[in-house]
Amino acid sequence: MSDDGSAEKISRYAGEAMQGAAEQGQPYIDIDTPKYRGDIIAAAVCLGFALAVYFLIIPAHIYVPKAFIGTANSPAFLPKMICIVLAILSAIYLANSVLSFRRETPQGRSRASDWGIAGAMIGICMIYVGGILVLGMTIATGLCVAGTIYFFGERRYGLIAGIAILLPAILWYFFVEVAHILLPTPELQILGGTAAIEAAIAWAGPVIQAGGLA
Amino acid sequence: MIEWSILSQSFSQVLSWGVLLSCFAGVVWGMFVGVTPGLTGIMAVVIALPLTFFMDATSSIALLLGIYVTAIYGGSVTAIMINTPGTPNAAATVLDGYPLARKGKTRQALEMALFASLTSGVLSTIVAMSIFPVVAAVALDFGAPEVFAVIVFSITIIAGVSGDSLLKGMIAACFGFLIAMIGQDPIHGSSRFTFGVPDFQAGVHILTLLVGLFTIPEIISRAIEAFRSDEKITVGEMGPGLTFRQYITYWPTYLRSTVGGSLLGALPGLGGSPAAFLGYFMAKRFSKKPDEFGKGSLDGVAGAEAGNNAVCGPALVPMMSLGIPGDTTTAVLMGALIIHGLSPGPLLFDSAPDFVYSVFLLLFLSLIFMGVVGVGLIRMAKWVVRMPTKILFPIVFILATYGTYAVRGTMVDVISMVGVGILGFLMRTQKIPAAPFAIAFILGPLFENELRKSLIISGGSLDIFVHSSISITFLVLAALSAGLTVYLHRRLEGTDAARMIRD
Repeated sequence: MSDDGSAEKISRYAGEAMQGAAEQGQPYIDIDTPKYRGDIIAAAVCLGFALAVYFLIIPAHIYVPKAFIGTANSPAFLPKMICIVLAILSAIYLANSVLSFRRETPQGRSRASDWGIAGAMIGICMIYVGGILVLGMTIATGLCVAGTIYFFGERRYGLIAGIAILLPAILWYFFVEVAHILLPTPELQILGGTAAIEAAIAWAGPVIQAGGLA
Repeated sequence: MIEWSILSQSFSQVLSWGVLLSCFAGVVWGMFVGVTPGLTGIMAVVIALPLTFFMDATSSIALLLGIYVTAIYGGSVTAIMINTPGTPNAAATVLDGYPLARKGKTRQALEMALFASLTSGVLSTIVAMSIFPVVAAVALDFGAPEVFAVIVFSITIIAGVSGDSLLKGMIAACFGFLIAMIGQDPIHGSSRFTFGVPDFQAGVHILTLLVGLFTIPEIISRAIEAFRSDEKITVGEMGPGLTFRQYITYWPTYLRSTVGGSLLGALPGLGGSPAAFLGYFMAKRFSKKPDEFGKGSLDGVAGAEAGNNAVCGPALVPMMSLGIPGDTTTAVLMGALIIHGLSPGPLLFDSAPDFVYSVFLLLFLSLIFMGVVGVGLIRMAKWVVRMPTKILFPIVFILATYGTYAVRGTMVDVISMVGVGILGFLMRTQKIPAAPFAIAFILGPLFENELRKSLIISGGSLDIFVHSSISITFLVLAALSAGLTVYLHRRLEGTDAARMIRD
C-alpha cells in the first residue's frame, strides 16, 4: 500500500500526528492524541466505574429514608439515573473503540519518556502534598517550587533559590498576616492524615458488605 | 428598558477605590495570562477565585470580569507576534495577524486588535445592558418547572463544549454530575458519597474541582513540552502604529462582528472562538480586497478580534437573568456569584438590580482599563512574549494549591485537587473534554434541586414539565440547541477552522 493510501485510512482524530509518524517511519504520537487502545481502556474503566457506583457505592453510601425508597424524590434516584446513562454511554464508547481498533490502521504510540515526565510531575504533586503533611506548607512549598523549576529545565541556581525562598515567604505573609488563614503545620496535618486513614477504613467497610464480599 | 435611578446607585458602588483596584488588578492579570501561551482565561479566573473570598461581591466580580474581558484580547498578542494564540479565542487572529507581523507591521496589528476589541466590547455591552431588563422581566414568571426547563436548556451547552466527540463530552458530564452529588442531599439532607469524611459533607468545592481539572493537566502537559523543545522565541520588527484613519476605515467590520459575536455570545455553548471566526469570515465576505485575507489584512484582524470580544457582555445576559452560562468561563463566574450568596437566575434582577447594573458598568470599566494597559503592553510586547514558562508554571501550581487550601482550610481539598488533576490529565490523553465535566458540576445541583422541587409539587408526576408554555418552549429550545450544535460540529468537521478551534 502506498503512503497516500495509508494516509487516507488514518482516523480523523489520530490526525496529522499519525500521518507525520507514518511518513517519518517513527511510530510515535503525542501523549494527548487519543489512541484506540487507550479508548478501550478508558471506556472499560468508565463502564466499570458506573457499575461499581450503581451496585456497590450507592447502596452503601447513600441513606434513603423508607418513605422515599423507589421514588423519584429519593436521594439515590438521580445518582442511579446518572450511573445508568454513564453505563450506556460507556458501553457505546467501548463498542466504538473496539471496532475502530479492529478496523483502522494501527496507530503510533506515545513516547515512554512523555509518560515518564507526566508520572514524575504527578509524583511531584503527591510528594508536595505529603511534604505539607510532614513539613508544613511553607517549607514544603519552598522545596517543591525549587524542585519543579529545576525539573522544568531551569539551571540558574541563584534564581531558583531566590524564588524558593521569596515565594513561600510572600505567600505566608499574605495568608497568615493579611488574610488570617492558618497554614498547615506538621503537627496539625499529621492528625489530619490519621483522620484520612480512619475515613478510608470507614468507607471500605460498608462497600465490602454491600458487595457481599464480607 | 434601563432604569436610570438604579443605574446611578450602581455608579456609586463601582466608583469606590476597592472596586477600581480590583478591576485594574484583574485586567493586568488577565493581560498577563492572555499573552502567556498555555495559560487560558479560565485558568486565570480559577486562580484568582480564592482571592475573592476576602472581598465583597462587587469587588470580586470586578476582579473576575477584568480577567474575563482582558484575557480574550491578551491572547491576540502572541497570536500576532509569535504565531501562537495565547488563548483559543485568538485562533482566528493568527490568520492575518502573524502575516502582518512578518511584513514588519506588528504594532499596527496589535493596535488594531486592541481597538477592535475595545469598540466591539463597548457596543456589545450597551446591547446587553439594554436587553437585560426585558429578559429579566419575562424570567420573573418562572416557577420550579420552568427553571428546570431552563437548566435543561443550559445543559445543552455541554454539546457545544464537547469538542470532537459528543459521546466523550457526555461521559465527562456524567462524571461532573456524580462529583457534584458528593455531600448532603439538597432536599432530605442525608449524606451522599461522603465516605465518612466530615469535610465532604459540604461537597467538593467548585475551586478544588476547577483547579484540578484545568490547571494541573496543563502544567503536566507543559512539563512534557519543556522537555521536548527548547525553542528560542524570535520577534520581528514592531513597525509603525495604527493611524486614526485606518481605525475609522474598519467601522463596518466592527459593527458586523459585534452583531455576530453578540448573537453567538447569548447562545449557550458557542463562546469566543466561533464568534472570532464568524467575524473574520464576515469581514472577508464584505471586503473589497478579499485576496489580502490570509496574507496580512488589517480587516481580518479587526473582524476576528471584534468578534471574540463582542461575546462578553451578551454572554452575561442569560447567565444572570436565567442562570444559563454561555461558556465555561461564565459558568465559573456564575459559581463565583453563588459563592457570594447571589443566585444568578430569574430572581437576581428583582433582588439585587443595583448589582446587575454594577456588573455591566464593570464591564465598561474593564474595557477602559484594558485600553490603558493594552497600550502599555504593546510597547513592552517584545519582552512580554518571552516570558519564561519554566518558572511560571511551577509558580502557578503553588498558587493554585494555596488558593485551594485557603477556601476551607482543609487538606482534604488539596488532596482532592491533586486527585482531580490526575483524572483530568488522563482524560486529556484520550481527548475527553474537561469543560462538560466542569459545567455539569456547576449546573448539577441546580438541576437536581429544581427537578425534585417540581416533582414534590406534582406529587411525582412528570406532566408538570409540559403544563406551562414557558417550560415547553425551553425544552424544545434545548432539543433544537443540542441538535444545532451537533449539526454545526459535523459541518465544520475536518475544516481548518475546526482544527484551529480544537488545537
